Amino acid sequence: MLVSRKLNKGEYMIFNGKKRHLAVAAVMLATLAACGDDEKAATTASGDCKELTGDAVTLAVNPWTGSAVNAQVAKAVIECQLGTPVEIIEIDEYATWVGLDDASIDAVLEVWPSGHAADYQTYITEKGTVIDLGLLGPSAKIGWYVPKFVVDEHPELASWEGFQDPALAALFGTAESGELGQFTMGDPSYVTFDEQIIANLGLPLKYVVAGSEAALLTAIDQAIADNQPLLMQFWKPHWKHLEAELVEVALPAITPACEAAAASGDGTYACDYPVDELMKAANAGLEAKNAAAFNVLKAFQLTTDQQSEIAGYVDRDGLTAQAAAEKWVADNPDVWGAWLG
Amino acid sequence: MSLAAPVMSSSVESLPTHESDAVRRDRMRRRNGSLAVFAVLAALAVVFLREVPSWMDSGIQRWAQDRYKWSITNRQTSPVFRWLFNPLTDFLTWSVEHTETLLLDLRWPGVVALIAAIGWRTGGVQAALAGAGAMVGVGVIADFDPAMRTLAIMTVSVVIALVIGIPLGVLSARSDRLERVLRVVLDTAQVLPIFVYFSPVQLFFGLKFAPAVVVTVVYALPPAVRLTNLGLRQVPVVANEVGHSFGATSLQQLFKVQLPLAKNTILLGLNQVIMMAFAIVVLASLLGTGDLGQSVLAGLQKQHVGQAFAAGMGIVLMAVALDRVSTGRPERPLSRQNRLPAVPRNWITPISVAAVALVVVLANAFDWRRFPSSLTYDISSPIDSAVDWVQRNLRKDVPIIGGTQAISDFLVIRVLNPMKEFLLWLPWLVIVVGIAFIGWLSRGWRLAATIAVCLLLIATMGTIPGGGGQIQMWDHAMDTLSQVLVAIALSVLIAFPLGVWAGRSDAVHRVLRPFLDIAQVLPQFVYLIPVVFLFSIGRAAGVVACVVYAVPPCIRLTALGMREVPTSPREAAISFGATGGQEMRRVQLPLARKAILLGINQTLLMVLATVIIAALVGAGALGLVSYEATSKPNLKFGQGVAGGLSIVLLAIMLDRLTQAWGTRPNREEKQSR
Amino acid sequence: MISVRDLWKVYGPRAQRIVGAAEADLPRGDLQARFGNVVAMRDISLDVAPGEVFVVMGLSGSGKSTLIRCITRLIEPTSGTVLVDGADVTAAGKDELLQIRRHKVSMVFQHFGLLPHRTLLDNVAFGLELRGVGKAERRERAGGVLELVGLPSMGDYKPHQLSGGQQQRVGLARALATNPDIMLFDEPFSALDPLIRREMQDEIVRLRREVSKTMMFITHDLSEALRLGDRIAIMRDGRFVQVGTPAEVVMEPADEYVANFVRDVPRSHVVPVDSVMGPASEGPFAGEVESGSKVREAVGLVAHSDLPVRVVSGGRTVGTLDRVGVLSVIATEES
Repeated sequence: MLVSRKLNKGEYMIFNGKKRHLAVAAVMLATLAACGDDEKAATTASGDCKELTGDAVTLAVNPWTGSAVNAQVAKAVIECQLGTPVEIIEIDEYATWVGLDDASIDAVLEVWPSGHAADYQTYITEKGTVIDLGLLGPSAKIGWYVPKFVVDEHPELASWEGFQDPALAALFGTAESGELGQFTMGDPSYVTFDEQIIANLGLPLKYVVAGSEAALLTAIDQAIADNQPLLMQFWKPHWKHLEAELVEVALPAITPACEAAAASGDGTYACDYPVDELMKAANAGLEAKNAAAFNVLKAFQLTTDQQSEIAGYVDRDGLTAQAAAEKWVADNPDVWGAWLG
Repeated sequence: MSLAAPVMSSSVESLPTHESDAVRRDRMRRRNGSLAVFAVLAALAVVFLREVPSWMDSGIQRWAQDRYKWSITNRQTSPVFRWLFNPLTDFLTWSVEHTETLLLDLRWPGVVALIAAIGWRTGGVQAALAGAGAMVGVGVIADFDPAMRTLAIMTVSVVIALVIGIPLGVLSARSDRLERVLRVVLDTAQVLPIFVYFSPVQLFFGLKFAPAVVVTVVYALPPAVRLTNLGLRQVPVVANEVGHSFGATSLQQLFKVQLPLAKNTILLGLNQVIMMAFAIVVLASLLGTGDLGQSVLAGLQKQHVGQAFAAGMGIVLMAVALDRVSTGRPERPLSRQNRLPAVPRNWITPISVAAVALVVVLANAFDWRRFPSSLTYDISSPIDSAVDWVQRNLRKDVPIIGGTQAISDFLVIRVLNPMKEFLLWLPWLVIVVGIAFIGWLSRGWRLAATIAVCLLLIATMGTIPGGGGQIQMWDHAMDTLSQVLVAIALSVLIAFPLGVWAGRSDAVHRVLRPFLDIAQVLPQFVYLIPVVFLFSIGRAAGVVACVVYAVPPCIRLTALGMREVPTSPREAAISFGATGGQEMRRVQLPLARKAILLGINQTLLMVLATVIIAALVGAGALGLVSYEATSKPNLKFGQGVAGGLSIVLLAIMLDRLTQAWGTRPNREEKQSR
Repeated sequence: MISVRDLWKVYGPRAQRIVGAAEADLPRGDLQARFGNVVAMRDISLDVAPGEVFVVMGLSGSGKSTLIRCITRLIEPTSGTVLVDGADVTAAGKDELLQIRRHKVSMVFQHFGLLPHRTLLDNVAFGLELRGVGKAERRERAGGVLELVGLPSMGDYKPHQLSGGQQQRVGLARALATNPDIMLFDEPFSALDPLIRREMQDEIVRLRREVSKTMMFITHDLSEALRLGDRIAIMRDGRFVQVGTPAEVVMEPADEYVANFVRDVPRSHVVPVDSVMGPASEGPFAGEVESGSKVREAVGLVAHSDLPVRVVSGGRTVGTLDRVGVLSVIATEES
């Protein structure tokens, strides 16, 4: 009996409860209605653009600004002029090749060949599922770098010979490297001969992997803030050069022996890094899938200055890569006009 | 080290036994025999074999590398791909894309209403409000649309994890052998660094959604299996007997008795599956998902900590929303029910469906597509300036402690280096025999054998190039082990007092709880890189990241263990005139011992999960080796696999050992084994 | 109805070798230490007649729960045979065993064993549901049985809303609902308060009168055993120490162990008048008692009169009982 009384009471409570819920719901809806006005119409780049139709072309963006602005410029041109939708996929360098292989990525516009000799061999030369789309234009170079104040204080450290002196090398010592100087490598996925170079040149340095580019960038900031010497692998172009003064350390000039060592992986590499002529690559089926887009991508080229200008909009002025690309495309119709053939 | 205490207490014979003298003599003889065996083994180890001999290399690296190469070459032609992986990939991609479209078509108010409706059904008005509030919060501090993509990936992954996990749990509840096998497989899946299977998953499932779902399912599956298994095994004996005694067939027994009774535990499993899925989402975004997780990564890659943190908090809030609505507690105490208006349960569904439908229709009618920007709040700038301040002021020249830089140096030079050098100085077999001996003392021969097998297998992982020559995988394993031990010791040192305090004071518990809740789902990545701001690149930063990640669960479990101690013995102590401190030391702590030791076991798993990705801040060792399976698969996949397996072996060994302390049987039980 | 022969249950590795061997007689601890085996039940044989209530009494660990579970093979016996209504349970295949469990035997459990996620009605209908009886029919039958056990119109409650006594009434109803010939009771009332326990025992007595069932009843409570049992088996260390009527057990305990058990039981409460009455004679009498009733029912009559009491069976005088006879029983109570 007791229990059934309780149930009755519960049923009575419902009505109270429902009313309250309705009230809450009404208030919520009113709020939502008020918020709805905020909506903007979707932005379109310009009135002259073609309508987007057909299957999308997928471009890979690797995690650095140059890669992002290339793809966004290509996207802006292809979407507006050809009416082909372009999808951007952000992915790391090695996965890019897997995507190019199975056509989940149609093209990538900036490959640093020095790190991808094996991928080039596997996918382009052997399997033929990926094709070489020619050079992007800019060249890049990996090297050893120190903050500028290091060279100001010790000019001999502008060249690798300076690091033969244990006392000078020890300036770069940390808790991790102990007696030796520390050589800092950023992301281990980047191409690296540094460990071989240190061993083969007999330098009193210890190779330490920071693990990621972000960790390396932080180390640069701290080194400059603390006036603490730092020796690392770094490269050009990179947006960090805009805000940090870094000086490249001269390494022995590249020799045929070093080229052979790089190819064979026998561990005898002891030279500077080669210059990277940045290249483009595409899935072998892209031409059949969308010849017009394929031709634009094949013709796509930027000079070092042009790329730096767009990257500067992003890294210096804080624009998104998309906005930077659209701005540049609007200002330079003659450049991309040539790609349309 | 924390190893000492359990070992000592295990050799104390205090429990009364009923065995005859003959049996006791027998046991003493066996024990002395065992001691002699260990001593002889150790002596042999010292005399021979200081280093891992080269003939022990199993060649696993080359084997794995060849398999990888084969997959690259044959992925377009092999029937395995054409008939299994490719259709599966298409199905997974299709599922995620359609779920995402559906969520976007609901519009953001519809999603919020849906979450509220689910919360109302499972946990009443409070859960509905908490879930909806957190979901709105996602829109306020992060981007709503990428969040919907994350939610779509989560939803598909969780559903698949349940579809696979619950039947597996049912089967393993019915077979002890399957349970044992699955336990090893699941442990491996959970500890195996994601880096190791990243590259194969890309080969098998391509890019974007399909591989992201696979990675998430692999990581989130274990709790579904474990808790289903546990729930079914916890069904009271009498309930099973009732079924059988009335002539239930096996299937009737399962569906009419066991599953209904295990329902709550299985739902807890669902909750844990969701939490695990959120824990991995940032890493899964490395596959190019373009979701909220990728915003975290992108922010960190560009040193935009604020952006990464905002996206990270978005993930946290989404996890909180799903947590609240998936851990509904409908059976609330009566007093509560009277206070809050109650709607009969069978009305809830129709009302909710109607309300959600109404909101969706309205949202579409007014086209509230994007989350209103007037409601968003940018937390990234204040975070950035806070990080900046911390970096400028705490790293150096702090009075007394000297700043984090000094702590970092101290950790490396005074703690990590001696520890690592000691482990490397010991002949490797001495380590095998020594840890096996600790295992024998803790749990007997079986554990000792498990440990020895794990360590011996690590020795078969071969060598990898480094330092201008070849380095044994064993040496990397000892490096990682030293980091793990230091991180655990530090975590316990920090978490234990706080946990005890929170276990005894409600106020402290209340203050700590929200932080612990957030820390539990905050992706490790969000603070992994910022740790470098304070502790320079290297193992110190790695250890600190491990500690930051492991301390919250350790506090939580210690506090829980303290709180679960029954009141009667505590009252008894106080009635005999014990002071608060005496009561704590002599009653509460000893009674909470098992729970606290299990907490340490959890801490260990957290540390192991982090010590791997700590490779991204310079911790090196096995983490770095396994990272190379992802970063340079075409050259180093085999090395990465071997490194990842070494981590799994270390993890299994440490896990079994710490579990043995938490649930160590008394001498009687041990005898009967 | 139930016939058990040479039934053994041995736990541990290679249990079969212990059955009937000399090792089975080793002290418990030594057997376990040396072979890893535990003998839960040894060499049990018994027969329960149709309509009989057979009580197995023993302390915890004596093997009585094992025994009752072996009847329907909830626990697999190590060796021996069990016949239920002529069917060999121990040799039955899977389907035959299910049929026996569904139709012939049902069980009432110590901690009620109600399924918490089901309403009372669905709990009671559980056996019928497993049998495949349609929803309407099984609910109707379950409702009727709930009424029989004194819980009418409570079918929609959940078990946790009930008191212990009420829950066990549901357990009883569930066992009755399948209308089995045989009911097994595994210490059904041990978790109840003494007053409720007494009430439930009366319920069993009543049920026995109303629906004729063969019952096997496990208990550790001697007074319960004496109250309910037609025959009682005393169990210790897995074997029967004594099997007999309540009177036999109390009057002629088989050994010291049983004697200690029954020491405090008032003899007049268990000894039937028939065992101490004299031959039938002509009156006058102080009153009459039914044949089969206990001596204590005659105490009042002979105390207030010098005349003997007449023992009747079916209205016919079968014997007489005088004050001396009554006192001879009571006198042994203090020894």
